[in-house]
Amino acid sequence: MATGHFPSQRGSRKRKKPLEGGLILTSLLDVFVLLVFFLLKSYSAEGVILTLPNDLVLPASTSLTAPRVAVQVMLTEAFLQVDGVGLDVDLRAVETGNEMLIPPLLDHLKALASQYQAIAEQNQTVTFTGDLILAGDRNIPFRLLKKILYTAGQAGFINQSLAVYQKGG
Amino acid sequence: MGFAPSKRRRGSRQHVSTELPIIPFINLFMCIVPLLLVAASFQKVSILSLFLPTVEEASISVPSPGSDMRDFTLAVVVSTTELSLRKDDKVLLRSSILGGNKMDLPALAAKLAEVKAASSWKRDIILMVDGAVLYDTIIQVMDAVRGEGAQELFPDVSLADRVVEVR
Repeated sequence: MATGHFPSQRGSRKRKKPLEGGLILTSLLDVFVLLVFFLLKSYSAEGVILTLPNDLVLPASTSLTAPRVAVQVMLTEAFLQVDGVGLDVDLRAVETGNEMLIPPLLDHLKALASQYQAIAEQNQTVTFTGDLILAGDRNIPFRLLKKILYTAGQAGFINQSLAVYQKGG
Repeated sequence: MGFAPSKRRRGSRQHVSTELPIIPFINLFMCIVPLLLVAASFQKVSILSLFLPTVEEASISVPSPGSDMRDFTLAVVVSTTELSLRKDDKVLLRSSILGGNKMDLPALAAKLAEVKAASSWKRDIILMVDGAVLYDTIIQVMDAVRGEGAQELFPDVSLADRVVEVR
């Protein structure tokens, strides 16, 4: 038997590809690249100005105006909040009643307005503009909404805006 | 001579690494991803400003020459059953709302575009809303009235209570 024709067992084992023990990192890298691009798209430098409660669903709109720092009024059928402070108001009675003013809301907003005006008197760089953002649930009726807006107007907050979700944003 | 390993075999054993050093990339991504996750806002909130005409502003709106100079009141009346567009006392469009939420907003936008073409200086409009109309519906009508993108219709939207007609 000529050894030259049949490769020895030892020789063939040596020629075998060595088994690779490392992780396959390229696919992981692909995932990360995609994730980074997706997150860059939804990146917002200014942060979140409005923090909404879970049970408040805003209506969607085509408006692209960014929210500014203002007094925030949150309104659903169950609760009314001003800058995160819950007000003890029976919204069902307000909705059905004929009275346009909501006294607890008026008092709270008036106190806030006088606070801002006092700051504006002390500091010349600050002016009280009467900015107010109303974040209302999409299912509240207009008869409740108008009373909130009217009361806010009476308290000196005349620059009123409505918070909405950006369509497709 | 048979025992001496060939030069060719020795050459093939020398491994030149052609792979990129991926680990530093992954380290970098591990830092960037949490940073972006914290700063991401998936549901963007924007605002719709309401227009409150004051006594001073009411007299400022100066029509440009060459257009219809006479100022008029433009109002969209929204009730739970009907949507109508009025110019002063004249009804320009009237459409019924079917099934609560199905409004013919494209028709309203088309009619408003006609009005805008005739008097381009006009910016304000009044939305007269019935008490039972939902907030979501109001926003939809406001979107139609404001116009989209380059085609701006009437961006100064005021809200008012619908006056029930007595016939």
